[in-house]
Amino acid sequence: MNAIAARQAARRQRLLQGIARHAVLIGVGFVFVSPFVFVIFTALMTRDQALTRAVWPSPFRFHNFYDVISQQPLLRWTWNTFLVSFLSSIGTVLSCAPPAYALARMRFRGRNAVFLLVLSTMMLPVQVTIIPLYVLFSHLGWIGSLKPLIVPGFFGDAFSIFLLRQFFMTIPGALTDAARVDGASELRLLLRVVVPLAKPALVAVFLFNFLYCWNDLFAPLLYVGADPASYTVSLGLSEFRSSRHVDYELMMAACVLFTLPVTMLFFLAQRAFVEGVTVTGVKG
Amino acid sequence: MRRLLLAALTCACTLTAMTTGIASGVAATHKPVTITFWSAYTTRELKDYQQAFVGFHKKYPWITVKGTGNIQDDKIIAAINGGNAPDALLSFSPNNTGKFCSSGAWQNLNSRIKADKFDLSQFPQVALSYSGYKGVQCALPALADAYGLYMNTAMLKAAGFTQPPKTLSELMTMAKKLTVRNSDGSLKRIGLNPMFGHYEVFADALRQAYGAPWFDAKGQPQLSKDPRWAAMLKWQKSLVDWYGYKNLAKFTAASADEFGSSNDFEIGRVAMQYDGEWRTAFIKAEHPDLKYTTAPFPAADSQPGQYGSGSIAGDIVAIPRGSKHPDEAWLLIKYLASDTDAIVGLSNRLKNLPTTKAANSAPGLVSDPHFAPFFKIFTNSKSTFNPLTPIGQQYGDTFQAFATKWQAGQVSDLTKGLQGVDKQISDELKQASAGTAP
Amino acid sequence: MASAAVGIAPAAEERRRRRRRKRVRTYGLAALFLSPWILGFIAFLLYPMVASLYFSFTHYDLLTSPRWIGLANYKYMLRDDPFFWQAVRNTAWMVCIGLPLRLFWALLTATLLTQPVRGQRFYRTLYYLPTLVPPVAGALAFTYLLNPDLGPVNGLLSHIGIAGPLWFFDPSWSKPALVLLSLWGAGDAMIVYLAGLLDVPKTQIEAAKIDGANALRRYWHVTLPSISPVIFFTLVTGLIWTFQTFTEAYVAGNTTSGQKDTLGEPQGSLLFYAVWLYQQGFRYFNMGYASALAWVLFGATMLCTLVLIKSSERWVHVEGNS
Repeated sequence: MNAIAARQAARRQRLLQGIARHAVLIGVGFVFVSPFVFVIFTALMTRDQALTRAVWPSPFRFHNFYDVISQQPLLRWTWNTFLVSFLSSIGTVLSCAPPAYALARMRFRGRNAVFLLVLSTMMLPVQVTIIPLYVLFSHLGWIGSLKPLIVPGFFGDAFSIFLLRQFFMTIPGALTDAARVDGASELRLLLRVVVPLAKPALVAVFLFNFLYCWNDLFAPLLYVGADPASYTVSLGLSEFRSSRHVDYELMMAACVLFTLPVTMLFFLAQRAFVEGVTVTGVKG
Repeated sequence: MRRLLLAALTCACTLTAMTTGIASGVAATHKPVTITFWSAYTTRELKDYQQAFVGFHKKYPWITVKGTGNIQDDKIIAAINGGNAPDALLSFSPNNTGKFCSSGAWQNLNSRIKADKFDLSQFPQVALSYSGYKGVQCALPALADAYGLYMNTAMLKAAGFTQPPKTLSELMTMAKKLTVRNSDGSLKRIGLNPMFGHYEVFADALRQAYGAPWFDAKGQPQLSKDPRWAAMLKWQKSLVDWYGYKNLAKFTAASADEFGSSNDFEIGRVAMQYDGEWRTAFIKAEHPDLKYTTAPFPAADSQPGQYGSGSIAGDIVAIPRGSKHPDEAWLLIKYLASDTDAIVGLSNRLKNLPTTKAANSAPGLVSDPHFAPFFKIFTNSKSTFNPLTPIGQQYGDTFQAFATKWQAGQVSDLTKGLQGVDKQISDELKQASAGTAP
Repeated sequence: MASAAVGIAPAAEERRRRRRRKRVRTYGLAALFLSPWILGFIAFLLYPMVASLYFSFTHYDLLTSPRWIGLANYKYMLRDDPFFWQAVRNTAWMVCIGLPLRLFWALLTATLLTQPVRGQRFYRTLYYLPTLVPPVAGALAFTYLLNPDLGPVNGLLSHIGIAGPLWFFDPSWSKPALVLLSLWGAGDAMIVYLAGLLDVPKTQIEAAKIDGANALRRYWHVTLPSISPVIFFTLVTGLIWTFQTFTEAYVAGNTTSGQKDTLGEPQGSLLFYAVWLYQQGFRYFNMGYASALAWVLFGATMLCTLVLIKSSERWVHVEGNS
């Protein structure tokens, strides 16, 4: 009898613990999710309602999304942002894979020194370079165009090189040795052996850079800020307060539209994201 | 009879031949040229502004103007720096004229003005004050803005006011009487929002009301030396404290975007508002049923002579360094700045103020009782623009940072605080001329 | 091993030559593979660094060529620029208070996610979601959420009888408001901690359980030391990043101030170092001064990072040490 009672008590305690855990998780989850909810609700409010404390929109005004697109060149900005993010990320993958490969699989003296140098550049505040770069770009006539945001992407990025190097190092040496014995050149090794195996890492690098460019405000603000037709969405939204005919419900609608594409991208590529993060965070 | 007719015909023929000969001769001596013109206008305003090019082309048929809008000052600076500046430009912010004039970024027009005997006195003094610097005229004024007081007629009438306030004490009385509070003490509607850092630059309104000078003749800041600054800050704070700073801050936080259709004055959240002449166009477009009056912003009780004046802002046209067709650019900016018909047309379309005295009284100028007071404010001899300095508007920002602390009650010693601001501004000026011969 | 004899065997000579050629080829190939990064390093890092150091000793406004002024920028910065010190204070606050809070919250939520419950993956995605929100959108959303009159946060507080603060409109609450925003988006650090927590060697946990340690002691003595390298990593990257706080402060300050030109409002409480640098360089075009500010930032970042790395010897637990 005692044993059964003891087992029942134990089960009850586990149940309570489980409920408590769920409660806390749900509570914290509510904290994370509620901003989304409030923003979306406000995005669906009428102007008059948005200027009150009301939380639930009545009536629902889906037309806000159309309004904000027609009042601001949001579509053009989205295209600019997509162009910059896509091209720059492609450039990053192309320009970071070879250096990462060299640092991971090729043996040469000073390899560690170069790697340390690459790493140390991550500690440089971007502010140190922006002014001469601005002067350089203005001499090239690029200020106001998207070129300053795209071109540097084709010249390597320390974080991406680091990420890829870590991954390349996990590829079994036996595979590359075998290919070397067969007489393959380093380039062929990279392209035929390493790259196919490193697809998740390459995708992660692409996604990281895409997300970074999509979200970036600073670089567009500096280099593109002069020409509203070349704005990215970040930049356009940040100017909301000083542009005309914009209020909270439209601002929230624009935020929703801005966040949606990368959220969808994330869900489509979830695994690559998490893998990429853990490779750097833990093995670093 | 026939001989007469023949003679007349020959005469007419020769005459036409001569004139067309002259005209085509004139045209023949000028090769057709296209010049570029950058401005900060966008969409509707850009179209309205660039209609002026039609008249210009008629006057100078060999010049075609290619206009580009949406150009802010920093793109202009980048272009000048990079060597691909336009031929002529229009800037919304003459604050930097000091810098541009002294560095030659905008070309010195003195010799051209002299050669063409271009009469600068056709512009009010205030307009010249922001288009030239230390004797160098490097820009011409092109359309201006004037600031005044907007009043909601119905609200004023209900509170028993029939006349616009002429002094600051009248303004304060009215502002207090027109304020409505909620049952919990928070503000529902206020008479006037005196917060620094909200909507338009209220500091300019008060500075103008007192006639307080920024700098003395030597260029030294006067905020702690001229008592009018302390007086104006004390006036402002007394009104803020009457509302209660926290109440007012909360009320201001819920204000909608200034240039949206829910502007505080337009939806009746405030009974009076300090604003520019363009507000009339906004009200006409967004709230045409609103009944309101406009008048100059009141003067300080101690400075009655200031009444009728106002704070002024404006656009300027200039020829940047590196312009590829400076002679044609000069013709264009001269036209845009002084051709009466062009200016009248621009003013009517854009609802800004014309910058020449002639255009201000031209018959074609569309005016309505709301707009009319602003012409007078603009041409009032006491109206001012903030003085140009080598540091652009940096001193205005420095003062504003102090003023927002002051209105929140964070400054315990006003005199010491103003001395600090003076020192900061004079240090900024010194820093801007560091490395040059004294 | 020296081959002292004259007349070395031709075969050995040939081998040495071949080895040298191979070395050259290897170096050449390595250089080729590294070339995109090397070019980028020279053009977008090295050259700008040297140039901005030079600019920091000049007065340069883009309209005329740089004018040498020696240490005047640095003297002005340290002696005559009160906004510089305000920016330093604001940034230091964020580094010393905002960053630890953020990492602590990330660790807390990560620990929560290690609980054995069903739907753990769902919760993990939920907590990570705010990280995907672009910082500009997030900052704008929070200026609305924390609006004293219109926002739901103060609305909720008023329902339970608390008069909510003015948040972004009150200089004492504007930075805490930014911290709230950064806590909401702490998912990136959380995911890294989660990976580390899941990697804690189970054998050590079991051993501690056998020794009679309760959950808290197990956490402090086994789990935390095990993930200390991860914590160190997030601290260093967080530090470098927080020194450059810009976007959220710029957007929030811009939006709450009624005017476009004032940055860092209210009352300069959001005037972070990077914001002041931006204002000096790209609003006032004092490029020389902004360059000097940038180099001081670099120096401060390096110093703090080195201090952190040095301190890590004491508390970061590396595999293999007891």
